[in-house]
Amino acid sequence: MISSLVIHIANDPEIAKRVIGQINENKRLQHGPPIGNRLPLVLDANSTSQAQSDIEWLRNLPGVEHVDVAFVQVEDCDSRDSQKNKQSNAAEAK
Amino acid sequence: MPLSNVPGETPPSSRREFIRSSAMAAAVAVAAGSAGVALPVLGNNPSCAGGGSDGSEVVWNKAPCRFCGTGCHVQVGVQEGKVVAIAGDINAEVNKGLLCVKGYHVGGILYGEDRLTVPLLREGDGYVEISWERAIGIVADRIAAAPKRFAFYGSGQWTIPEGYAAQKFMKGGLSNNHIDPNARLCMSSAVTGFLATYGVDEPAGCYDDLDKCDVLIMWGNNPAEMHPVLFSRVIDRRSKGEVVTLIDIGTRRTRTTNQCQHYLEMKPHGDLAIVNGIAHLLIKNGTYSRKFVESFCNFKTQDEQNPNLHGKSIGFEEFCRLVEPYTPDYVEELSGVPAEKIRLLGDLFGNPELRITSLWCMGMNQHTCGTAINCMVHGVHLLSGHFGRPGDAPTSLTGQPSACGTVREVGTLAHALPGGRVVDNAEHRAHAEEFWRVPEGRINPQPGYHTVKMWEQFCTSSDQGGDIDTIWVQVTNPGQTLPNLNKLFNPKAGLQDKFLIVSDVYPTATTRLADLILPSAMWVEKNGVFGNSERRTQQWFKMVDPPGQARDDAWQTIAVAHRLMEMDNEGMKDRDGKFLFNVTGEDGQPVPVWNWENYYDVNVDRHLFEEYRQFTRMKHKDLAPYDEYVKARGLRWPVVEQDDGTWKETAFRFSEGQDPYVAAGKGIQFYHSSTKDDRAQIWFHPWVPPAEVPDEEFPLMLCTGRVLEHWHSGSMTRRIPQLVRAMPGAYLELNSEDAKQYGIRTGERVRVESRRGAVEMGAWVEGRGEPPRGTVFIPFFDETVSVNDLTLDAVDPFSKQPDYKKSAVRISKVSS
Repeated sequence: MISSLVIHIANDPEIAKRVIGQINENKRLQHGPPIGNRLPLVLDANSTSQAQSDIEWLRNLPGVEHVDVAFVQVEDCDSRDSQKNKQSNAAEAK
Repeated sequence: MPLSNVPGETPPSSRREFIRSSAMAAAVAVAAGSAGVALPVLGNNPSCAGGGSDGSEVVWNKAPCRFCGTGCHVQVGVQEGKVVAIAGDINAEVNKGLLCVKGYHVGGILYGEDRLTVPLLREGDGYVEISWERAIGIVADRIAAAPKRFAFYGSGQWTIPEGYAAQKFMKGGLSNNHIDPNARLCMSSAVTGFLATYGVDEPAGCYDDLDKCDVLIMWGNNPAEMHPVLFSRVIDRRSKGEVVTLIDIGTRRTRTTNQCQHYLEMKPHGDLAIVNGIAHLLIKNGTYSRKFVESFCNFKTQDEQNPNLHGKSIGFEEFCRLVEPYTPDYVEELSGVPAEKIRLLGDLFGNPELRITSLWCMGMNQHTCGTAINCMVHGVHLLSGHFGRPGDAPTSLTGQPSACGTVREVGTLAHALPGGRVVDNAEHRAHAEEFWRVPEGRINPQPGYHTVKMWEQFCTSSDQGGDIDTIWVQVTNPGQTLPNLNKLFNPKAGLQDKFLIVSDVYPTATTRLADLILPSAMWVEKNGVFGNSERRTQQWFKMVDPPGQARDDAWQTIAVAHRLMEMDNEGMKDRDGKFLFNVTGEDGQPVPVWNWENYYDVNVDRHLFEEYRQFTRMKHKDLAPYDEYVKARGLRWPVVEQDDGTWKETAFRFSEGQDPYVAAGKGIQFYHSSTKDDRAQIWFHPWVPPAEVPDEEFPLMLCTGRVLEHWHSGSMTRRIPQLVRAMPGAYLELNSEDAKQYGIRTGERVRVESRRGAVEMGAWVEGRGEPPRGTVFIPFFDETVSVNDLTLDAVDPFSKQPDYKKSAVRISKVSS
């Protein structure tokens, strides 16, 4: 799944440099040009759990104040299948 | 601008690369606060964002987002009769081009594969398709058979014209006040809090306060997930170097907590003690604003012999005596919040140099002392003088897109009439009868059933006193959202004499028990007007056709009203014998809007809105003409005509220089004061424990709530693949120590039981939120996990709003 993210970085050039350096080391993340204290990112993960894990990693990076998830793109995803699966799980549980 | 036209973009070589480049363009656009880039919403099909197969271009128009009460504006891209793209609207003051993850996907709500497209009538265990003609006849017959045993249940998802039509139909037509909304479950305690304090509903401040405050206190509120665009406004200020102190007062750590300098973790109902503790310190330290209090405030406490929203007047000395016991140490004992944190709050409120904004939503409203805690938070702002300047305001948020516009302003509550009027006031009834031109005495002076009572009566058999036989539900999902469903909804399945009509867009937990299902148009499939949390009224036009035979909710109401008139129901005529919803065209001739084929021959919304607008001036909630809203991205009332013929909105009420209704020289004027002296009321209420507390049998406290990715009962967002994948289902969130004690690990299946029911789901140990030991959390968006089988139906005595945040439960691991 591919996600558009915007992170807000603390107002300190040294911290921003360090955050961008750490992001560069993560192969699943690609960043765009910083706009003020905001940094646009694309996250290309193989699974939802990997994406969630990466987003949590970003949230916990020292100097990252906030992560906005602006857009999530999922290939071959069918919400109805997902709901059916869960309904069938619930039925089994009863 | 379509993605394919983004300047400087190299044509992508693969579909995945295209999506990546689209995602980066979107991120850049959001980071820049620009609306220049659109996102594809249909089937991840890149062609959606460019030219159509017929060479047509995407046509853009404005609309407020369909989801929460923030009221973000989106730009909706339409091509070949379908919504193909959504972008944040840079011209919108509310969101300045930004949207949350739900907002970017809002177009997808129209295109779930299981849209309801034809009226369905229950026959045995299944449904048969029927014509609209027959469906309207069935509804009219049920009402005609027992008009006083009929109830209408709506929500803050009704547009203003839809809610107004339902209101007029019930109170002005049927003389029946059994109309109430889902908003009763969300924010009615905020309403009673505003009324008891200022004598008039809705916040004095607005979202501009978030741009001006030095301190933002979130009372049981998680805006990082529930109102993320508003929260981003504050975070953005901090990231630019501004100093803003964020304080989270709550019962579990959330994503909001992570951004706050101070987290005050309280026991349930600890908020009542904390506010009294602040008042105690302001008085003890001499840091209350004597000038503000002496100029603009009275003091009240509850009249225990006759509890009501006016209470009993007390003097300042008596107020001091009542809060005297709430020392920081005693408040720590009651609330669990360390005494030094209470002193911190006392010091902040005691500092007149700071600007303090309080935000709250369900945490304070879904509370058996909801009215009390709302009044008391207003009270500490008034006592300390933190009121009336931009950034100094107590402000409640709403969860539904038009909870304020349709419910609080149109008055679609069992006791209310439009424009702040109430049915038990003869003068107010006379106003409404005049505006509606219905005969004197048409409006019933007796308030109808509030939500919990309405459903209780519906779920009680007629021979046992259940005097509601038929309920018509529009735009909401009570089969999932009512508390204690095994008492208030599920018994309907065994009551053959009860009839449930549901107008909706998808099958839901409510349609499951419906006898008649009516397919509705939604959002930009119809014209609409919403009113958001900051008094902003927002208009949009129909952009695409609804699928199949789905039709507007307002049309459904008008069609039933007309059928009743044809059946000689006198209530559907005004005093001149004209149809209650008489709509004329430009030639002055009536247009038969009860025929679907003619419904869009005129703008029915404009007609209803202009009629409704007459009601808005009594409480100084003046609305501008409909066409002014066509031009704007919403306007905050009171909207007052200027000498040059333009219309001016009001950002801050009750403050001289901001609010045109404050008299010169007054400074602050609470001109709808319940004590008729231009003063607000500062209330004392004592701390009391929750209605249900954990014990040996049910040792854990359950809190229910929402998540970022889904809205309300999930009936729309669970049709959007991206959101479902991001948050697939409900879960039990629990503390790691409790998990260890019960031998439960993340992902394992858990049974949760209360005195009212039981459900099963997966566990998430210290997941997104972190509940303290002894408490658990379950979100309510997932239809397959009916968390409201567990919740308590105890209500606040004044607002009649239930408490979904405090139910005692026990848990056990389900063996495989």
